[in-house]
Order: sequence, then C-alpha cells, then structure tokens
Amino acid sequence: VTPAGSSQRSTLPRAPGSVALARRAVEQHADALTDDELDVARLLVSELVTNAIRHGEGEIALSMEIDERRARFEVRDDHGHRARRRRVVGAEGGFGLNLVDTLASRWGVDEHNAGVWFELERPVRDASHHPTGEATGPLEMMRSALAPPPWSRWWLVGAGLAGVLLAIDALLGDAPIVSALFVLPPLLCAALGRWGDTAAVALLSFSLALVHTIVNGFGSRPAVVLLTIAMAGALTVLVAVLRAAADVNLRRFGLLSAVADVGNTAMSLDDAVARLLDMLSPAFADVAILEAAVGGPVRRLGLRPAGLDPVAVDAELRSASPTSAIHVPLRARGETIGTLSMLLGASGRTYSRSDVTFAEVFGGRAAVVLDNAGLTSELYAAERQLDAVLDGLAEAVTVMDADGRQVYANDAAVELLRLESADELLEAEPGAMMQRFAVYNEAGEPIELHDLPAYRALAGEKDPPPLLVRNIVKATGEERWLLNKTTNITDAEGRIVRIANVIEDVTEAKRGELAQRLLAEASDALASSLDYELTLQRVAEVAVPLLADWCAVDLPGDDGIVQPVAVAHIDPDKVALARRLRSRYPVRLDDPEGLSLVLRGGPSLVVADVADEELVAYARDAEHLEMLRATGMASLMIVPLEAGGEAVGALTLARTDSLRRFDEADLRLAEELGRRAGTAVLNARLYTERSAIAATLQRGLLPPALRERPGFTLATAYRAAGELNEVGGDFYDSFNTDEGWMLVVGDVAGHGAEAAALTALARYTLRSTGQLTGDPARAVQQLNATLRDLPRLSLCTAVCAHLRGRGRVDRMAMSLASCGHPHPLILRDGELSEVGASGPVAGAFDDGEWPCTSLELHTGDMLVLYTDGVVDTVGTQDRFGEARLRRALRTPAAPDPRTLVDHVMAQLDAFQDGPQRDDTAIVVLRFDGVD
Amino acid sequence: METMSGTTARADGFEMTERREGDTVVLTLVGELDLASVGTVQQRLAELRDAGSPVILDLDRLTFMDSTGIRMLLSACQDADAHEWKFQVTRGSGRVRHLLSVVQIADRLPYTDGAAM
Repeated sequence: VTPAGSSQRSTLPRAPGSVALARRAVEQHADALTDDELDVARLLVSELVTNAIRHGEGEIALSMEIDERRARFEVRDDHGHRARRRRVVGAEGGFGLNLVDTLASRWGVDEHNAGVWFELERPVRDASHHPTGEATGPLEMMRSALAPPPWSRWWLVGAGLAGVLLAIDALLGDAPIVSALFVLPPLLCAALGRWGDTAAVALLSFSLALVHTIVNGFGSRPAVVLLTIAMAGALTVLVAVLRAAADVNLRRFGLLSAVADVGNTAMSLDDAVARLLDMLSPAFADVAILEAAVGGPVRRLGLRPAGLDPVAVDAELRSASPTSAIHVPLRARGETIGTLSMLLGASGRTYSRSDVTFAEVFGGRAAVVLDNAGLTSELYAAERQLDAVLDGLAEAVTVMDADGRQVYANDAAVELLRLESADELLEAEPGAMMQRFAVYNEAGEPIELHDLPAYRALAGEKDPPPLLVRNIVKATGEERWLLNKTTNITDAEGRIVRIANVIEDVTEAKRGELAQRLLAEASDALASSLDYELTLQRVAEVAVPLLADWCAVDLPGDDGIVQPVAVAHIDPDKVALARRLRSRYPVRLDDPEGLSLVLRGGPSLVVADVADEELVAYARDAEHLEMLRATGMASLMIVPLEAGGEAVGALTLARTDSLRRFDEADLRLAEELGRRAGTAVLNARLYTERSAIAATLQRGLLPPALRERPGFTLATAYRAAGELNEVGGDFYDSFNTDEGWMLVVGDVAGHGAEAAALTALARYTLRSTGQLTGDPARAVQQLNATLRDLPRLSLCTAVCAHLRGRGRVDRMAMSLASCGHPHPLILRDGELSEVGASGPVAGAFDDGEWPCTSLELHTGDMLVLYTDGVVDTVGTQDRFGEARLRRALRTPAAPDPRTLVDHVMAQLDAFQDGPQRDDTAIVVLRFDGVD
Repeated sequence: METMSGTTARADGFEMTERREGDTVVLTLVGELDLASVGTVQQRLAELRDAGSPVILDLDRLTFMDSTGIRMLLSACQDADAHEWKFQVTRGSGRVRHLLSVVQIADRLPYTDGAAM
C-alpha cells in the first residue's frame, strides 16, 4: 500500500537569500502539514540550508517527500565537486544541530556525506516529548552528575551560623530581630553561588527558626514576621534549586554543542575520539570508555582518564567499584557500531534518570561523529590511493558528475588541457573548456561538445565508441591528435553517477601515420608518369588536404619568371584565383625574398602565422593585396624541390585555418615531400632529354629494312637491350660500291646516347671507306684509325662483306674482313661453316692486321651475320652459344632467310631468362643467283 | 517619550527599524531573521557596541528566527559581558520564545523586564 504522498525537488543558488526561498518552498509544498509541523519543518530546513550555504559548494538541492505518515526533507550540495570531501555533516553550529536533533524524529547524513536529511513523524511528536526536551524536575536535575556537588564546607559554615543565631536568640530571648537574621546563612551561600548549599542551609536555617519559635511560643513576635521568614526561606530554596537545574541544562547544552562542533570539523578518528572523551571526563564521568567498530572490528577506541593502563582498566574498574554507570549504544546509519560507557565512583557523584537520557542523546551524536570520522579516514585513504594511481598515468583522466560538471582531473589531464591546476577545470562551467580548443574529426569536420563520447554517455547513450579528434590549442595553434574514451560509473540502480573520460595523446602516432600516408601517396603519384608537370600536379593534390589547404609547385622558367606548374586547393574556386594571381603578378626569379629565394637555393621558409601587415607589405598594389587576402592563407611554408643538393623547384604549402599553424613536424614532412618530388623532377627531365636524343639517333641509325638487292634475299632482326629509348650498340648497313654492294654488321661497346654516337661514327666510317675503296679490310682498318683518334677508348667489332656481282650467274664473289666480330656462317646444302678471318677489335690498338678473305657464294647459299648478343644471350644455366645457334640454323626443313631469322629469334626468346642484356642483331642473306 | 531616528534597513521579508529612548537605542526586528538578514543586525550592533550605546533588541515582531539568530544573540551577550556594554532583548514573539526554549537558553538572556540576569 502506497500512502498518498508527494515529493518535490528544488534547486537553490548558494546565496543567503536562499534560506528564505527554502522556507517558501516548504510552505508551498508542505500545505498538508499542521501548523506545528510546518513551523518545525521551516526552522529545520532553514538550519540545513544555512549550513549548506556556509560549508558546502555549488547549488543547493532541497527535496521534500511528504506522505501520511512522515515528512522527509533533505538538503544537499547539488554539486559533485571534489571539494565535497569537505565535511558538511551537522547543521549550523551547535544550535542548528541541536535544533535538528531536538525537533526531528530522525535525522542523518547521507552516505556520500553530501547531504543532511531529517524526518518528522506524523503526527509529529510534541517537542517536549523528545528525550532532551523531557520536562525534568529541578530536583531531578540537581541529582545530575553534571550538577555541582550539593554539599560543601559552605554548608557547614551556613549550618554553624544558623546554630549561633539560635544560641543568641535563646540568650536574648524573645527578640524578633534575631529571628529575622536567620535569612543570613542561606543568603551567604547564595552569594557564593553554591546553590546546593544555599538550598540546604536555607532549609536548615528556617527549620531551626521555625522550631525555635514553635518551642518558645509565639510570644511577642507577630505571626506575619514568621510567615514572611518561612516564605522567604521557601523561595530561596526554590530559586536555588531552579538555578542549579538551569546550570545542569546549560552544561548539557554546552556538551551537545561541542559534539556538533567536532562533527563540523574534519578530523581524524583518533582526534575525534580524544575530543569526545575529554568532553565527558571528568565533567560527566570519572571514567569514560569508547568502544566501537569504526574502520575495523569492535575495539576500544579510547578511555579517560588518559593515565589509566588500558590493559589493567577492567580490574581497576572492578576494584574502584563504580557507584553509578551508564552504557549507551552508539548508533549510526541504522546500525549499532559500539558503546559509550560512563562510570562514576571516586567523585562520589551518581547518575540521575535524566543523565541517562542525556547520555543517550550524546551517544547518538557521538556515533555520527565517529562514523563520519571513520568514513572520512577511509575516504581520504581511498582517494589518496586513487589520486596517486591516476596521477601516475600518462593518459589524461577527467571525471564528471551526472550534471556534466568536472569533478576530477589528474596531472596528465591538467597538462593536456593546458591548465594551471585541476581547480581551473573543476571551477569552469560545463563545456567552457571546449572554447579553448578547435576540435575536428579525422575528416576535418568540426566537433561539438555533444559529439564527445563522455557527453554522449551523459546524454544517455550506452557505451559510445572512442573518438579520435584533431585538437588545436587556440592560444598557440598547437595541433594534437587525441583519442577520447569514456567509462561510466553507475550506482546500484544503474544510474550514472560519474563519467570517466580517458584522453590519450596519439599525436606522434597519428602524425607518423599521416606522414607515411602522404609520402606513400606522393610516391605513387611520382611513379605514375614520366610527365613531370602531370606528376607535380598529382603531388599537389596529395598534399591537399593531408598536409595543407593549398599547395602550389613552381619551377624556374627560362625567361627569369617563376613558372607555376601545379596548384591544388581545398576549395576548387580558389584554384582559379591562385592561377590568376600568378599570371597577373608573376614572380621573378631574381626577387630578393620568398619563393624566389627558395628557388635560388635558400632555406625553407615558414611563416607560422601570416599577419595581414605582411600581406600589405608584400602586395604590389591594392588589387594584388585583395587577391592575396582572398587566398585566405593563414600559415605558410615554402620548401625546395631538392635534387642532388640543388633546388629544382619549390613547393608552397598554405593553411587557411588560422588555428592550424605549421610546426616543425609539418616542415620536416614538407621537406621530405620536396626531396622526393625534386628527384622525380630531375629524373623526368633527364628522361625527357635522353628520350629526345635517342629517338633522333635511332631514326638515323636503324634503317627499318635493308635495301632489296637483285639476286639476293635478305632478312634481319634487331633487338635493343633495355628500354625502348636505349640506343643499341649494334648496327647493320648496306651500300653500293663500284663493283657491287657491301653488307656491314657491327657492335659498339656500350649503351645509351654515347654508344649511339659511336655507332653513328663507326657506321659512317665503314660506309664511306667501303664505298670509296671497295675493300672491306681497308674499311675496318680505317674504322680502327678513326676510333683511335677519339679521346676516350672506344671499341667496335664489325664484319664487312663485299659482294661483287661479276662473273658467273650461279656464283657470287665475296670478300670478308672482320675486326673482332663473330665469324659469319655459311649454310650450304644443310651444312654450316664459319668463314673469314678476323683482325683485332677496332679501336684497341694503333696497329693491326685485318685480313681480307675471298670466297664464292653458290646459288642457294645462306650467309648468316650476327652480333655477340645472340650467342651471349643468358639462359637459366648458361649462354645461348654457337652450338645452339648452329642447331637453330639447321632446324628449319625448307629454310629461307626470314624463316631462319624468325626461328633463331624464337629460340633466343625461349632460351632467355630474365631481361635482355645486350643488343641482338642478325642478318641472313641468300644468294638466289643473278639473271 | 520615544523619538524616532528614522533609520530603517530592509531586506526581503525583513526590516530593522531604529529609534532612541534617551541614551538607549531600540532596534526593532520585523519579519524573518536568518542568514540573509542577520548581517545587517550584527553590523549595527557592533557599531552601537563600539559607540558604547545601550541597546534594546526588540524581538517581538519577528515571524521567524533560526539558529543564526541565536548565535547572534549569544555573541551579543558575550560582547556585553566583555565590553561592559548594556545589551538587552525583549521577550520575543511566540516563535522566538519557542525556539529559545527548545535550545534551553530562554532563561539565560538579558531581558528588558529584568526577569533573568
């Protein structure tokens, strides 16, 4: 059965005016309470709010739950601040706590030590029914152990004085004035402040006066005098008794206030125990013992007087045989945690009934104090350990409460968030820290507070995924990559009470990754084409947006103007602007500064923060300035495209976001990119030049086919080693002579452009000498002489065959000369034979003999001329060799020159392992007979 | 006869008026005395104490008072003892009297009618 009830929660600012606001809230909400209940509720809420304002932190939450049976009020700091460690137990001073304790049915401090609650039973008990408010008679109070000892020597003095008065009265007889003097002894005691003595002496004194009068008869004394004396005596007794009772009350009150003060002060358990025991002994007890389970099993926390030997104390107590003792349970948070024992003996005092009640109240309060001291000790110890662990972490850890307030930050977080101290974060408004940073995700989109995992968790999302952000410190432009992870700390009901945010600085790793990605993509781009302008455009596009918002590549032009060859911008509209800027305001290579300086071999240029004044200073006119401003450059780097230690161009990188300033790491990366691009530019240039030369030479050196010769069938194959552009060292040629024609096959040592030039020289030397002399031996001799004239050692092998079309139709005269060249082969009737004799390789020696061999070709003979590239072709195990060549030449059943050439080339292809290493040339000539 | 000095201090729900009766300054507290309003009274009491003016604090028209007020009264009593300053209070409104009795100091204050101390 749920009793009809209501609850309400209000939040109040931490300001004195809130005390009244809290009362208004009580009045509005607690209309179901009776007037008396409302009075109490108003007063106690006022006390608790006052206390919270004085000792707490942050806003104050007041919650009220009222049903038919009870009204519960709680006041707490509405603030998960670290400073909540501070004690907020108890109410305002001693009186506040006293009031709460007196008027509330129950009260306590919540387990987080952040709030104080009280309950009123309904119908609320009248305050006077509460133990401490119990109407205790003054005589009862005088019996209290706290009352001053009733009897003292002043009692004897007073009694003696009364006896003397009695004697005087007896001697003088019937003197009314003497009777009146009986008021003196009690007055004397009263004047000395001995209320117990006063009451006793007054009683004795007036009893004597009365007895004396009655025994002697009234005599001449008027009845009115006697009556007056009696009444004055009674009054004096009464006042003395009341006064003594009030003293006891005041002392009790003082003790309770003192306990409250202990509760209001953060102190260790030992200090709290000592303070409590000192209050009790000797004022209220001859021996006081505190035993409780605080921060461990039940143990004796302390006893008074301090001199007692703790081990012998029990025996001591037994021997001292206490005359009066009180043991009260110590109860905190609904559990009995120990006992408080108070004993009287030596002082002769005894405890009264009201002392027991007082002891219970004192014990209840002491229990709360001890419990809190224990909790505080444990809390401090736990927090100290946690702090030490967290402060030792390299990762930044911050903790916020369920309202989004930061309550903790470890040392690493203080460092990472660029704070002076943790308090700076804790005192900031939620999210205020975010203003100091510009935060983006990996794609470069801005990140808001509510995108961060911790705030997503705060908004109720379960296990938000970690988030990697690029975080820029606005004040310095410093860029960091931070990985944000979050963990929730929930209470027993699964509600979030704390959200821990772990921030890992992954800048190094992330930057390394970005640099690798940039360089890898740039390398791909650089390798993609040998057209360097296209390549540089691709490099610029790789740099945007990974490294910069704007990238341009410039090369020095022939006309003294810096040539922009590539530009990329994160905003495509700006690309046109950048081009326009450079065409309208060209940069000259001899400009003293900036781009031109870098192009002339100057160091890299970094302007981390481009100030407008610099643009103004740089601009040539207003339009220029306007265009420069429109580019939006905020941070700028110019690095050389470096190759072989020289700047072959320049890479300009700019960022438009003023928060992303270029730093050292960016510069290193840009310079590396510049080196790679520079090498690529150099290679591309060399390639372009070489390609042009090679193509020209090749066109001249390699006639696609030899001229048809009547009576002969010719077939050739030529294959240069390496890339297409590599000019081969092999050549062949045919030309007319006076007597017929000459066929030449040669091989120049070396490759490339130089070899090509040599080839041309060899070829034309052979041609011109051959044509002029018609003597192959003279031709190779002249080749030797020509090559020897060259400044560098240049070698060439060649074979010249002079076919003289004279004589019989079925015979052809041929003369051969060779300089170090493989011997020609003749295939006749399926038989292969080497022909000719060779002299030394041309270019090797100044002198030499190059014999001329004369022979006849028969109809159907095939002459095979080849270069050593054929026999030197490398297979998996050995070279192709002459034996394989001969086999290949004999294989075809019905050989003709084309078939033979193709077959040999096919055999070479099949044999060859890996790339071709040398030029290969083969010429097959068949004599068909002359008509 | 009473002469009004015309000094009035106000706060929300609280008002303090001051008048003189011969040498004595009578401070009348009206409304609710709590943390928000106690400062005004304390400050004025301190001034009057330093000036040596006898003071009567009129608590009869207070509709609310909490322990903040009690603290102020006790501290004024201590000052009175220490500085030989004449400080007295009236019996107070019903709520005030009830509060003082709950904390058992009702009979320890220097009342204007001289009933105690």
